[in-house]
Formats: sequence, C-alpha cells, structure tokens
Amino acid sequence: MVATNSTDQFSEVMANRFVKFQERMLQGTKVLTEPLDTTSDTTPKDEVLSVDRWKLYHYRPVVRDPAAVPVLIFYALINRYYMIDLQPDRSMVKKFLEAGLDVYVLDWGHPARLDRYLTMEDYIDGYMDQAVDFVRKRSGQDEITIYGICQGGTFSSIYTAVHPEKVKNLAIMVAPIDFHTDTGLLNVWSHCLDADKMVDTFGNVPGSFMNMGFLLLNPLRLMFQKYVDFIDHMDDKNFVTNFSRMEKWIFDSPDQTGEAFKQFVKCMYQENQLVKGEFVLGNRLVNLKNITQPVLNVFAEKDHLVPPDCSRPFTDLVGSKDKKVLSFPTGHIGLFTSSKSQTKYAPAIAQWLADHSREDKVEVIKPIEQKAKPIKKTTTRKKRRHTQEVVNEL
Amino acid sequence: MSQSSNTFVDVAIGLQKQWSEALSNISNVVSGEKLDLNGLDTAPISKAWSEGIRQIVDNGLPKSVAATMKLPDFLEHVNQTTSNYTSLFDQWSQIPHMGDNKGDKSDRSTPNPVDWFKGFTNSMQSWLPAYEGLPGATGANAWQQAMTAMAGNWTRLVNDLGDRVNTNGANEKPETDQARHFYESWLKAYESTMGPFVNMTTIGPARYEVEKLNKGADTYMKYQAASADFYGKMYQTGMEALQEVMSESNNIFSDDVTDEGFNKFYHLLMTVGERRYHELFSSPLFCQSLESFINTGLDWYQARNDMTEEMLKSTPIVTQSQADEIYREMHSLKKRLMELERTQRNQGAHDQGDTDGSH
Repeated sequence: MVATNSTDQFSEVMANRFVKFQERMLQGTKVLTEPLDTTSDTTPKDEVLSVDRWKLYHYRPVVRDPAAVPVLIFYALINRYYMIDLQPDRSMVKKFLEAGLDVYVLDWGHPARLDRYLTMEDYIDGYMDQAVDFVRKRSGQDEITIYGICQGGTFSSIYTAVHPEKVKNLAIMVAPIDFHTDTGLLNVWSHCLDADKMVDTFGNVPGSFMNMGFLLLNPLRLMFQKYVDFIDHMDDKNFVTNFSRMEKWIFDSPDQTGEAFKQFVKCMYQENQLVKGEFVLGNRLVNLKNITQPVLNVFAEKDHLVPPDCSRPFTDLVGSKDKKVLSFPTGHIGLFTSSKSQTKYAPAIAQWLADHSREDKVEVIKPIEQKAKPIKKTTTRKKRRHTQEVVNEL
Repeated sequence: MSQSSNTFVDVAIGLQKQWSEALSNISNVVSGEKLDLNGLDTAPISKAWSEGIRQIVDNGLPKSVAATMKLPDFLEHVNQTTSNYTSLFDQWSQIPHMGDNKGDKSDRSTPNPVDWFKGFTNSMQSWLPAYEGLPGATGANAWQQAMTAMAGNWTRLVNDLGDRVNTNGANEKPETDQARHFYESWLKAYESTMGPFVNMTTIGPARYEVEKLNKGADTYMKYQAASADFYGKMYQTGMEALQEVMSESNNIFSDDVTDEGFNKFYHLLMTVGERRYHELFSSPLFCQSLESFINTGLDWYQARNDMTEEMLKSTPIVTQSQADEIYREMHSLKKRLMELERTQRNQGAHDQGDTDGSH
C-alpha cells in the first residue's frame, strides 16, 4: 500500500494496478481459450407434448412417490424458462423435485413472424389450456397446481380466474399484477410507448429491442460495472463459466409476438385493466375474485423489473382464504440464482407447494446435490459476492 | 464536350442557387426572423430543372457522344482536375486546426465541436476558390460563385448557432443544452425549408419510389434530431455525475493515493451515476424524449421498409406485407379450427353424459 502525497506515488499505484491487470489478462486469456461448459437446463426431463412453437416437458421425479398433484410451471414470454434450472447448483426446479413434487414446464420457444397475430387469448385460453388439460389427463388429476413466473404469473392468474375448475393451487412469482406504480421504470416508461405503432412497424417486437430497454434500466451496472467485474475475475474459470452462462440466458431473448405484446402493454401496463376488473379475455370479463384456490405470492424486495408494489396487491385482489406471501431480500434474477435461492428461497416455495400437493413425507432416491467448485485464491469472497449481487439485483 | 458539360453545369448552378436560397432561409429561421414560406419561390428550381432536362435531351446527349472522341482534351482536363483536387485537399488538411482560433493549444486534444464546425465553414471561404478551374472552361466562375454563396449562407447559419451556444455558455448552461439547441434549430430550419420539398407531389413513372425515398429522408432527419436530444440527456447526466464525483473525490485522495482510494472512487462513481441516471429516467422530460426517440426511429424504420417493399414489387419475391396477409389468414383459420375442435369435444362429452344418463 502506498501512503504519501506525490505524483511518484500515484504513478506507483497505477503501475502496480497495471501489472496486476496484465497478469489477470494473461491468465484470463488461457481461461477464455479453453472450452467452457455453459450448458443450462440439465435436470433430466422428457418432452411430452409439442404444439406449434411450444413444448411441454416433464421433469423426471427424484422420489419414489411424488406428490399426486402435479405442478405446471408457466414462464414469461420474455426470456427463456431455463432460468429455473440454470446450473446444477443453482436450480429451483431441482429443489422442487427433491421436495417430492411432480413438475412440468412449458417452453414457449422462439416465435416466428408467422405468430405475430397470436393474442393473449390464444396464449391463455388456447395454449395454456391445452397444456393444463394434457397434464390433468396424464396425471389423472382433475385439478393441478399452476406456478406462474413473471409475466407467466400474470397469465396464470388470468387463466385461473377463467378456468378455476382446473386449478387446485395457484402460485405466482415476481408477477406483475398492479401495473400502476411509479416505483418501476418499466411501469413509468410504458406510458410513453406507442404499442400499436411498434407492432405495426416490427410485426413481432424484437428480443434485442426489449433487451436494450432492460439494459437501460440500470445502464452503469448492466453495461459497465458488470463487465469491469468480469475483467477483474477473468482468471477464475468457475466465475467466467457462470458469467458466460448467465450472459447466454440474458441475451437468449425471443421476439414478442405482436398482438399479444400490444395487448399486454395497453391493457396491463397502460390501463391496468386486470386490477380494475376491466380486462376481457375473448368474450369473458376476468375477475380475480374468482380465484378462490390456495394462493402463494412470491416477490423480490429489490426487484427493478417487477417492483414489489406490482406484485404485493395480488393477495388482496383474489377471493382465496388460504393465502401466503413470501418476500425475499433479493432481485428479480437473484430469486433464482443467488446462493440463498438454493438454501432459503426455493426450499420455502417448495415447502408450500408440497404442503398443498401432499401431506406424507417423501423419500429421496437420487440426490442431485452438487457442490459449487472451489473458489480460486486469486478471487476474494467479498469481491465475488459483490459481483453476484450485481447480477442478482437485475 | 464543353457544350454538354455546360448543360450539366447550368442545371447544377440553377440547383445550387436554390439551395443557397434555402440555406439563407434556414439562417433567417435560426436568427429568429420570421420565415415567409409563401415567399419561397420554387418556380426557379422547376424552371432550372426543366430547362436543364430540355438542354440535355436536345443538345447535351448527342454532343457528349461527339465530345468523348476528343480524348486528348479530356485527358488534359483530368490532369488539371487532379491538380486542383490536390490543392483542395491541402486546404482541407488545415481544417482540424481552424476551430482553434484562441491560440490555446491545450484545447486541440478536445476541440469544441461548435468551434470546429465554425472553423470548417469559415474555411470554406478559403478553399472554395480551389474549385476554380475544376470544370475547366465550363462555367467555373458561375459554379464557384454559387458555391461561395452557399458557403456564405452556411457560415451565417453556423455563426448564428455558434454565437447562441457561446452566449448560453456564458450563462453557464450545460454543454448538452447547447447541442440540443443546435439540433432543435436545425430541425426547425429543416422542417421550414426542406419539408415542403420532400413533401412535394411527385410525378412520373418513379413517383412512388421517389415519394417513399423522400419520406425516408424526412423521417431520418427527425430521428436524428430526436436521437440527439435523447443521447444529449444521457451524456449530460453522465457529465453531471462525473462532476459530482470529482468534487467529492478530493476527500478520497486528500491524504494518500492508495488502492483503497481507487476502490472508493470507483464505488462513488457507480453510486452517484446510478442515482443520477435513476433521477433522469424517472423524469417526465426523459419520458418525452424517449417517446420521441422511439417513435421517430420507428417512423424511419417503417419508411425504410416501405421503400424496400416498393422495390420488391417489381421482383418475383413475396413482400413482408403480403406474407403478413397470409399469416393473418392462417391465424384466423387455426383459431377457427381450435374452436371447432373444442365444440366437438364438448359435444362429445355432452352426448356421453346423455348416454350415461339414459342407463
């Protein structure tokens, strides 16, 4: 450490930093030129249904006698579903399976221009209903548990309100319900979006366009600090692998089908029709009070994309008596990928789901616990935690 | 050759004069004088065009064929032109330093763009004479006069803007306000003068293409102005954040220059930057700018698509809007099919229920 006031000392500090930087770059070059395993979505599963662009997967249970009531996960149309199974040691779905749940997930896939006229009705009353019917039939259950994430949570709430007879439990996670809040920039900006013009021009709204909007929410962190941190740790193969995997997910952004996007922006973000009880799906008025099933509402307290004010009111809007709120001190993505997501968040959610799906205890037959790789000496824990927080608070 | 060249030069001079007049109007707008659009006489430009076309058809084309036979004259002209261009480039190479009229060499690394632009336009007065002789004995003086007149108008425009910018600077207004002011003035001037031209009714076999081309140019100009405003706000916020950080960083480095100091500085930079940008992004002014940025960008994108579609019409390729019609029809059919299937399922279940009930 240097501790005098002079230009020479300044030069010395700079020179030392530069030398360290050079060392990291050299080591980092080695790391980056070696093959990196950035695969996600590795928990074993089977494709059980495929319609148009979407596919329904069934995760192979890891307990002898999984819960009778299956859980069907609906992710958002934005980004991809495999955030729930990003890597073996950061996998929400793995925690669900270990809790004895029988889990299905719907992958919306990447829409093409052909799909630009798909509406919310097509998604909710068409595709989601098809998937629910399939799972009901396959599991032999009249009612199943629906787990909606982000926009998938909004869709799931609407679905449950119009098809309550098919849903046993409803859980939503970081789902925007009350859109009229000024605590989220997306909510503020959406009022100056001309969704009609956007869809008339683009057809499907490009994923890259959406990404620019998300990056703009916090440009310094997401376009600068994150990459500075990456350079700081580029000699750590484990860090680089995880970073690359996350980057791959962030920019794996499907285009948004035109009509559905338009409807979502206008009816939800701009007019807040769901909360006002004015939203019409097809020819049915959607009333959230129709939801009388047990409800779990999960949100993140530091969520910049869907602020708590957006999700919290849901619990008061439904007609259920069995209601539970789980709020965690993390960000939108941190709920899935932070270290606590594996030790606290996912287990708490899984517990609620398991309690509402079966009561008997389960016997684990195939533990998939995989420890994180050891941290190299070149990276301090403090620094790593800080970098992870940047990603988690997305 | 000289006669045919004269024909082209005459047309060019005619157009040049009109541009000059248009630029003069731009200067007037910028100076705050009321622009009398009705007084903008478009007749001369039409006349220049029609006269030029007539001359080309009647005289220029046949004579140009004969003129190309005079190869030695042509080569001499090329040689002379090359020499003149060399001289011209020499003049241009001096331009980067022309904005530096205060004699402060330290400013050269970060030239003031307005000063640079002023220097550039002022320099036109000196390098324009190098054009003399370029067209040889084909109306060089007239060409040069027209160019000089145009340069005069540009110089006035830029000087006006420059003065305003400097005045704003004296009032300690942020640098980006000046940039925004420049683009606002430019857009106002553009809409007042060029707008009527690009929106002019087009005729002839290529009228649809020209209409779309004009629209594309128009939307592009508006997009440029909107993006200047948008990026100006982003830049200004970054600069303000940096100023705040710099003023606070004195405390960090007051005692020692240490690694911890750098880390604190970086943390401060991120914290302040994040706060400043969040304030900006939450403001109605930014929303307005974002709206304009996106909408003008979409207009430009659409104009570009329209132009592409127009060009594709003459080819055996399906255009995007034709494909969209098919997609819409397919979507409607699929929906109808799903409804029928659902009805059939429900009917089947109903019939089954009836049958069961009968037993």
